[in-house]
Amino acid sequence: MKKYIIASAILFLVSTSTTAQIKMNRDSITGLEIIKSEETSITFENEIEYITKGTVVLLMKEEKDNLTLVTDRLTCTYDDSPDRMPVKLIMNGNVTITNAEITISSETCEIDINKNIAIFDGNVRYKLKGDLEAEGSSSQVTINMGKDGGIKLKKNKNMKFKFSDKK
Amino acid sequence: MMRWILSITALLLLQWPISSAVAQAETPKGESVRLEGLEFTMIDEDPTQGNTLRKPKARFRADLADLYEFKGNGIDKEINTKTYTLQGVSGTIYGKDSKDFQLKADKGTYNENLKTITLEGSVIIQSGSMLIKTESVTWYNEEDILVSNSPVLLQNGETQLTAQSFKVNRAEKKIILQNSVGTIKTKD
Repeated sequence: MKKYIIASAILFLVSTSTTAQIKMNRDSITGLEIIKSEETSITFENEIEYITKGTVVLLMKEEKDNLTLVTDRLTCTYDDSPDRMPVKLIMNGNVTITNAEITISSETCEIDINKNIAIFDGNVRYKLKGDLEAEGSSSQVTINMGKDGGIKLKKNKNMKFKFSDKK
Repeated sequence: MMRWILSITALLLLQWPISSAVAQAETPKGESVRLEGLEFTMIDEDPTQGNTLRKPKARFRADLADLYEFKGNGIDKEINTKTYTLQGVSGTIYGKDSKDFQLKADKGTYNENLKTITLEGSVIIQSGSMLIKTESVTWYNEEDILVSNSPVLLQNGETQLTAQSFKVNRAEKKIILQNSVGTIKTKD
C-alpha cells in the first residue's frame, strides 16, 4: 500500500534496523579511494586538503558501509591528535552521497565525524531504500549517523515526502 | 661537433649568481665542455648569515656533465646562457622546516639562467616515507617547487595514488595531483 504525505512541519523519522542509514564514526573510517578527481591536494602526511570534480569512496571497516561521495569540491579537516584523524568532510557543489540504502543529493553537505551528523543543504533530494522506502525533497536534511540514527527534514513550503511500505 | 673532454673530477660551488668557479668551464662558441663527476651545491640567499658558510639548499651530483654556453645579442641586452646536460644524476634538496628530498634520475639538465634542474628517465624522489616515481620532473630552486607533467606514482605507507601530473610545494608541504586515482589511507 502506498501512502503519500505532503509534510507541513518538521518531520523526524526514527530509523529502525530495517530503514536506511548512514553508519559512520571516527573509528570506522579506514581511508578514501579516489575513483576520479580533477585535482587533489594532499599534505606530506597524507591529509587531504581538497579534491575537485571528484568521485570518491569513503572506506569503512565494514565494506557494506562504504559511502560514495560525488561533489565539485571536497575538503577535509583533521584533529590535533598524534593520529591526525579526520574531523569534518565538507562538500560544495553538486553533492551526491550514496550507499547501499540511501541516495541524497544537495548543493552542500557537511559531515561531522565526531558528532556523527551529516547536514545536507540546498535543494536536497533523498531516496531511502529498505523495507520502508521513502523519497522526497527539502531545503535541509540532517542525518544522525549514531546508534539512534534518524533523519530530520527541515520545514519547507515546497517540501515533498513520499514513502511506500513494500509489505 | 668538436668536444672538449676534460677527464677530471670537477667540484663546482654554485651560488646565486653563479660563482666564478664556472668560468673555467666556459666554452668556445657552439661547443661544449665535458666534465666527469660534477658535483654542485646551491646556496640560498640568506642575509641573516652574512658571509659565513650557509646551509646549502641543494646538492647534486652527475656522473657526466656537458656544459653548453651561448652568447649573443638580444633586443636590448646581451644574452648569455649556460646549460649543463647531466647523466647519472642524484641529489638532495635540503628542507628548512620539512624533510630532505632525495632525487635520482638517468639524466637531467641544469639551466643556470633559469635556476632550474630538470631530471628525466626513471626519476625517483624520496622524502621520509613518501616515494614518488615519474619520468620527468623540474625543480625550481627559487620557488622551491617540483613540477612534473609526466604520469606519476605516489606511495606513502599504504597510500598509493597515480596521476597525470603533479606539483610539490615544499614550503607548504603539499602535493597537488592532476587527474588522480588511488587510495589514501588513514592512520591506524
